[in-house]
Amino acid sequence: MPTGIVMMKPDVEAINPNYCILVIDDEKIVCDRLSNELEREGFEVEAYTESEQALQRIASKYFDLVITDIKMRGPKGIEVMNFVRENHPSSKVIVITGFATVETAREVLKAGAVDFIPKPFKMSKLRELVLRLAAEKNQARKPR
Amino acid sequence: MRFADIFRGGRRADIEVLRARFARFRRLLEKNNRVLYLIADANEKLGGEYVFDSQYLLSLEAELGEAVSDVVRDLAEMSDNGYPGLSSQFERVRAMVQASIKPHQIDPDVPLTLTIDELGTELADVVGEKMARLGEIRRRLALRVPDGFVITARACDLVLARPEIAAEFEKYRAGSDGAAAGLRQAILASEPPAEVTRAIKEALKLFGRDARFAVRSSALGEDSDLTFAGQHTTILNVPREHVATAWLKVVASLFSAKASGYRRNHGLPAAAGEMAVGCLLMVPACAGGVLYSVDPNAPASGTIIVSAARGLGGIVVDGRGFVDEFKLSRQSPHHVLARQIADKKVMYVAVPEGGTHGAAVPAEQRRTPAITDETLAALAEAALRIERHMRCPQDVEWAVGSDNRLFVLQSRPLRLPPTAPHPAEEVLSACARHRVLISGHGEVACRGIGAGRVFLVGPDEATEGFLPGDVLVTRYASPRLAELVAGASALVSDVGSVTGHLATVAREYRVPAIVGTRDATGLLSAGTVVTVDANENTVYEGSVEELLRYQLLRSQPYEETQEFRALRHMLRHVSPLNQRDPSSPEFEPEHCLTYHDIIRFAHERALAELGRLSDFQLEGGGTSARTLELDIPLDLVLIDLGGGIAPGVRGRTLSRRQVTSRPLEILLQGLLAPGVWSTNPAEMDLNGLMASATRAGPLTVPGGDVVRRNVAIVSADYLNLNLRIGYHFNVVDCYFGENPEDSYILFRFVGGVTDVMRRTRRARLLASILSQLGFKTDLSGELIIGRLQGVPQSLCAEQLRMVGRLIGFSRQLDILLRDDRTVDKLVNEFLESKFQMTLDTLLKERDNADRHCNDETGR
Repeated sequence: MPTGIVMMKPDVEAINPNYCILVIDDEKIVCDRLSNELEREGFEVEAYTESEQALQRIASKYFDLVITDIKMRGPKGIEVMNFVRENHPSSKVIVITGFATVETAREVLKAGAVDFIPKPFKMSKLRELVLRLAAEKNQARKPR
Repeated sequence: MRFADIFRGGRRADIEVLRARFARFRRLLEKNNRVLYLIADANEKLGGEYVFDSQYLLSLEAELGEAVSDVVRDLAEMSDNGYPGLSSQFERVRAMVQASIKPHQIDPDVPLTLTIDELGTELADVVGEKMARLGEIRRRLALRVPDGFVITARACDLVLARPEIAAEFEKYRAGSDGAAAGLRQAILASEPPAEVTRAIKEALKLFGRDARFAVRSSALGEDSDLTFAGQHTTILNVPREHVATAWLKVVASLFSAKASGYRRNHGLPAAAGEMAVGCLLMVPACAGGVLYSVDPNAPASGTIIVSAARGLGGIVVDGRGFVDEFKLSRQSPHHVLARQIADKKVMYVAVPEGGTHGAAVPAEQRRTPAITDETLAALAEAALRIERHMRCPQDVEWAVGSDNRLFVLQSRPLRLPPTAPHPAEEVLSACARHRVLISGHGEVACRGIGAGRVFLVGPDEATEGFLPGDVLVTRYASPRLAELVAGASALVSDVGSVTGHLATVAREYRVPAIVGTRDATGLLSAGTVVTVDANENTVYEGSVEELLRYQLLRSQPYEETQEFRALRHMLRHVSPLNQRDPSSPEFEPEHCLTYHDIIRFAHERALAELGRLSDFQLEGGGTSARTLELDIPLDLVLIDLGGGIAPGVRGRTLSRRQVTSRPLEILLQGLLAPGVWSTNPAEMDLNGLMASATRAGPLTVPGGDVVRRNVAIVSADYLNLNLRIGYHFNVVDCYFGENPEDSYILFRFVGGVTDVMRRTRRARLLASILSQLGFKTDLSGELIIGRLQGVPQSLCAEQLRMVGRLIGFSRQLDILLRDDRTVDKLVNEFLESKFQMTLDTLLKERDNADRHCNDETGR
């Protein structure tokens, strides 16, 4: 069975456009890759290389998911996480970082991140995780 | 100090030195594997599935540099600094690796011009994507691309560095208003730098006086994530004396209002001055146009789209009409599915004095197709070959020459709408319709999907008849096949590991590869068509079109971003393997151009250093030397480097039970197998005796080693054996590593007193047996060297046992090899382990023949 096919079987087209994602990474390549790939899955994506600008955006708009780097110019990933928690407690956060240590992982997971992904990572891994989170959100929305 | 000196006197301290060297060998192997792993991993990152950033590049560079440096140091220590050139070469390569990840850095040693035959995608960072790809298409795919050369981006750097231009360039980079126009004017007003003019003149020497060129932009990053289609200048039909000024015009177009606006609209930074320029011979085209290998409006429809005009194809891209449109099937033989023939009133033609102009199409040609169906099919075939190689849909500019043959003028990734459909069910059911030939047998060395005709690599790695696009199926993943891998649509091997040299080459060229399948050469028949799904480690019968299309449409144009380019640029100095043949005179430190070359060289030389462990005269034996007691008169002395004999053994002798060296034990199993060590004395017939009489004097093994005593240097997983049996000298050097790439057997055989004919037959026999056991075999005079490498330990052990048998077997050979017929018979029966029977039969035959001969003479 070819890779990547099974996980795309859920009817993503129907659920993803209502799921908003914010990407923060001071490297443009990461922002571009993630927005490209996630937009292909039908999500609405905004990406920022300046975490300061991203915080301003979070203040004015609700995002279902924030994907953030840890080490950045300006506000760091932990500050982003705290800001998200204060403003939108139901938003989820995924942390991606090139400086992966056990301590950082522990710290961010304790601070409430859904997952901690060391860079470089496989896009399929992140895609799978995001699709799962979107599906969970969609399930929760459905009337029982 | 050589090992020979270490052992004179056999002091215990000397053994410690030997042990230390063995430990270094192990460390070298470990680091060597680490480097191969890092290369494999980095190439996988290039495959596109990964997200990485510049931090990754920095840590990769640091870790690679350190590991290669360790390998170099370990070899130096093993060899008493026997390869001083290697560390300086390492420093040179390291400097290039480090420079490569700095942005906008063009090595100062990059030539100002390169011919098209020197280009490939690995040079995209100096010649631009467009020209790099064309070079690749011409060199690796053997498609027709016009002759020509490229003026590299370094030449552009020289222009921008001129004082009067540098100032304008600074203003432009600072983002001052109107700076682009000022810069462009300054460039156009300047003279081409003398150095560049000289280089162009030199490059033009390859072309005739009347040569005309198409001078095309090939900016770094152009044709990549964003196509920049039509943003930079192309000048057609340029006479040779105007090439330098045309080049300058194209360079200036980097800063045109059009290109600057395009950059601004796409959020790109100002151009960094990275423009290479291609100069290709003009094709006197009777037709030309554009092909899309996938219909962008219906990507899953399996159609190719072609636009064709009369004359030069430029009219198609200019969008001025007068163009025929065709839809073809992607399936061979590429039938035309739809056609729309236009009334082509105008065509572009080259003007003798330079340039092009629109001319009227002759009336009788206006409403006939600009291109025949046969040429369309050939064009489709070529485009799909490019697509397979580049692994994404292509936008191809083509021309038909006056000889009615095709030229590829340009090929770039075709952008498809961002949300291509996911035909999951279609693909899954298509896969289910095809028989699975192999599944889950080996390891995936490079992900991807490829289909083609099976090409089975023959014995002795014969590769005649291989065609680009074939699926390369081979018993061993030998580095000697590297040349073919580039053109293969997929690679499958019985034996080999993901960190092997050939697997690394496959990743370098992004050829889907499955290695270590054990039995692919038996399961896949030569000439049949198969689909290799190296995402799922499966080989299907036939061509699974849906699967191939699925992969194609999933491919993403992310590869030309700064980081991907930097990684690719860096790997150019890391991953290619130039040092493929250790017997070549070029196998020297100064020819190691990449990290891969350096570690391969070091690995090879480390093995040789290790093989020399017994390169000494053992006098007195030393406290660590013990004689092994066996049922056969072998007189073998063991020296233990650690773990080779059971702990607590005292005294000067030991029994076979006390041997804990796995390789030695296995070799002995073969040598002592029932019937192998015949008790019959290896008697000599008259010819043999005559020959021996003429060969008195010291018995020296070619290479200068004097063998006087049987010695085995062992550890738990290592054996170095020097064995003299009668007039035969056997050397076995063997290591069982945990990693398949580490295990090896080196077997050398020389000597044996007999006449020339028999010596030749013996050599042929041994070489034939060794090759059939999978050894790479070299014959040089009376010396036979067999080498087995890169196979799993279990197979290595099996073949080592056979080497043990062969040593015993060969002891009896000289008297038997009376004719050529016997050779083949003995080879077969040895391999079927029936040789004792054969021996008896042959001895009987000999006696009968002698009797017959006596009868004849008696009559």
